[in-house]
Amino acid sequence: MRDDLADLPVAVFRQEIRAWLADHCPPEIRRPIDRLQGAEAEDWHRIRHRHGVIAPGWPREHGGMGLSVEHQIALMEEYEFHGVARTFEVGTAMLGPTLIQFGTEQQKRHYLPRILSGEDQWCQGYSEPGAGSDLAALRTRAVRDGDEYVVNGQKIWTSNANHSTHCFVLVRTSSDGRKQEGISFLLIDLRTPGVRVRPIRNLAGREELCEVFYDDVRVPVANLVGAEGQGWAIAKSLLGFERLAIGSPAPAKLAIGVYRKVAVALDVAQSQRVRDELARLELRLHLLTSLFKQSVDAMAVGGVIETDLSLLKVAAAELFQAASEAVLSLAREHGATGRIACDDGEIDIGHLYMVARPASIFGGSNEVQRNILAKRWLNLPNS
Amino acid sequence: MIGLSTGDIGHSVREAVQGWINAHHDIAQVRALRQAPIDRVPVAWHRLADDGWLGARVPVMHGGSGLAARDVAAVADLFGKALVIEPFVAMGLLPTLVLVATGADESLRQAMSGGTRYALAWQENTGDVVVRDALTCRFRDGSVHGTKRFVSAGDLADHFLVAVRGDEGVILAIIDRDAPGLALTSERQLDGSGRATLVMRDVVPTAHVSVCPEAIDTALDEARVFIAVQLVGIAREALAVTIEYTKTRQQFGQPIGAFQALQHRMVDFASAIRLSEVACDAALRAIDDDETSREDVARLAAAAKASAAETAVAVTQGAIQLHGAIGYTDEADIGLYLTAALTLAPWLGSPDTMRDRFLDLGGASGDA
Repeated sequence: MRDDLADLPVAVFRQEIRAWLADHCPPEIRRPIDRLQGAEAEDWHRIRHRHGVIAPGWPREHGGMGLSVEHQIALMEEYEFHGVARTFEVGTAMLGPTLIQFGTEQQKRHYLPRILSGEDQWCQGYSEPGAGSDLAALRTRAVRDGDEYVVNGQKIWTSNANHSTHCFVLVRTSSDGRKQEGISFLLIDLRTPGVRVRPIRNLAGREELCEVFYDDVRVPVANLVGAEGQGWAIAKSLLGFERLAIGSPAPAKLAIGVYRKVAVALDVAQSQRVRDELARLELRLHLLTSLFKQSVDAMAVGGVIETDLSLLKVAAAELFQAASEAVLSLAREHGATGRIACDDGEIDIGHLYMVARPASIFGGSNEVQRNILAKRWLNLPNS
Repeated sequence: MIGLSTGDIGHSVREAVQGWINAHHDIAQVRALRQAPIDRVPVAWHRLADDGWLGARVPVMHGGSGLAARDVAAVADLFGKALVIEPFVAMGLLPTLVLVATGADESLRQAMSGGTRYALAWQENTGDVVVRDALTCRFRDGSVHGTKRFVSAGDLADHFLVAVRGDEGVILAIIDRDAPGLALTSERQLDGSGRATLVMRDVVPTAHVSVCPEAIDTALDEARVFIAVQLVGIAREALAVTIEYTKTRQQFGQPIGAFQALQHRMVDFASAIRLSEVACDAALRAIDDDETSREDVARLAAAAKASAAETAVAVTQGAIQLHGAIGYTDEADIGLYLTAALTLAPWLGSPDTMRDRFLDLGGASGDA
């Protein structure tokens, strides 16, 4: 891939990416419903690394593509347009930018190249059995012992831990003061003695989420990012671009496309009831897309409206779910098997439905988003 | 809450409109409208003309001020918010756009000056969307026969712009409200405003011109966007009033606005308003952008109107619930927003009709 990508006008940049995807994206990963895991994900990572199409937001001095927000959005849209399966971009999208901003020189030198090459695979260890929506209640402890922390506790809903080598973990280093202030950000090698990963099978039949147990795990003090007690602030700063991506209309659009296909397959596309349902879904998609585009443009110039991001997350999740529910309902008896034959092969509508379920749970549940909007947007009082 | 984003011109338009409202409008007028004679005299109409609002969207070459749709939208937005009773879209914007399209400059001058009040009579049946759906009215041997319905502000207009089928295409006939053979029936709408049905038997128009029906359709689409903006203005204010109420009303020892069940409902209303606002903005930009096709303006207008109408009705009726029993009284102003929304929502295409049209014109795939 040419090395002046970041300097190209966005339209030319898009053409370059489009052509590159056509040549180098393996056809078997053009399945946008599931996230890639394991060997498939590693192969795709290596292909992108070899061609320098990795870490779009990192500065070039750290080995990234050095793209502007506008170019990054164009890249995301080209991937969506091509139907490239999503991956767990935890190392490149989340940890890398954090280390570049908060890490020591040594941390940057050690970890950044290994994220780029794919040698280290990262996951994010935040939630605990007793700390989900109320994340700051987390109890996993890290106690200083000489040059090491001794970590004890349990994390849950750690995505992709079963295919990761490392995890960045929010740990409690102090119980004094506000609960947010006793939290620290620690880098842990999952191959350290005392770490145990147990995958959790989900309703879609996949093993993405995991429990991770930490039992007297010794972690060098050099693996602390920022200062002790800074973990909460660092974790919050992670969420910028990711918070926009989570409101993407792409999954809902895909599900509405399936609705159209199923209507044709069952020969009911002209029924007034089906047309009305489709019109309602398409109108909601139009509204979501319009606000998403406006926010993308605003983010490119640094003027995105914070509350719009929460609104987009809620609207995107609920439309994805509504469309997947409408598909199952439209399929009638076929809904019981979750499979239906269409013109271009069998569609697994049961899987589509299940994949839509957690959209309203992860990334801050929709109920939590509504609480946030009630306070920060409408200035409603606390109970 | 967030309003429509506007530039410098938009900002000064907003200030001027707000000044007009402060000078000429009062919520008591909204209440009084419900008991006023159906053929009332619209006393503030000439004030709208004096301040130039009736020609705001008329190009400069036709004697108007040629402002962008996105700027003039402030009129509809703030009129919605304040529940202004003057029918700006029905008797101002829509007839002037049609008169511009037909090149009837003398009538246009009359309309902009407020000296003659016009209303467009095009629709014949529920669900009509474009002029070609509604052309059973005929123009033959110099006179007009047939029935036009749902003529908003028809109770107040001096002249009607009537779209009829002629022997060689569509004719726009200008008909005096007192013309012999015209039976005019006014009916009161839920908010107290009026509309009319025109039954025409051998009515001789004061003037007539050939017109391209698609030009009237384009005016209708722009009017739909302005109605949508007005509906969003109504909804936004109804929600703001409701939020304030829930912050002051105490029950169980705390303001009811602290209860999560109520907070989530209000967040959902605010979100629906925000999304409708963005749909209106997209449609207004399309109107102002010469590169956008008429068909795409129509698609975006349909989406904006469907969304804003549904939202305004849902929010204003939800506002009654959130007020509790006091919201059900005639004395509380919150009910006025509901009747305003219920009256505007079906005009020029109910949400059902508009959603169908949106789908017919490509739906969301047109956004790519």
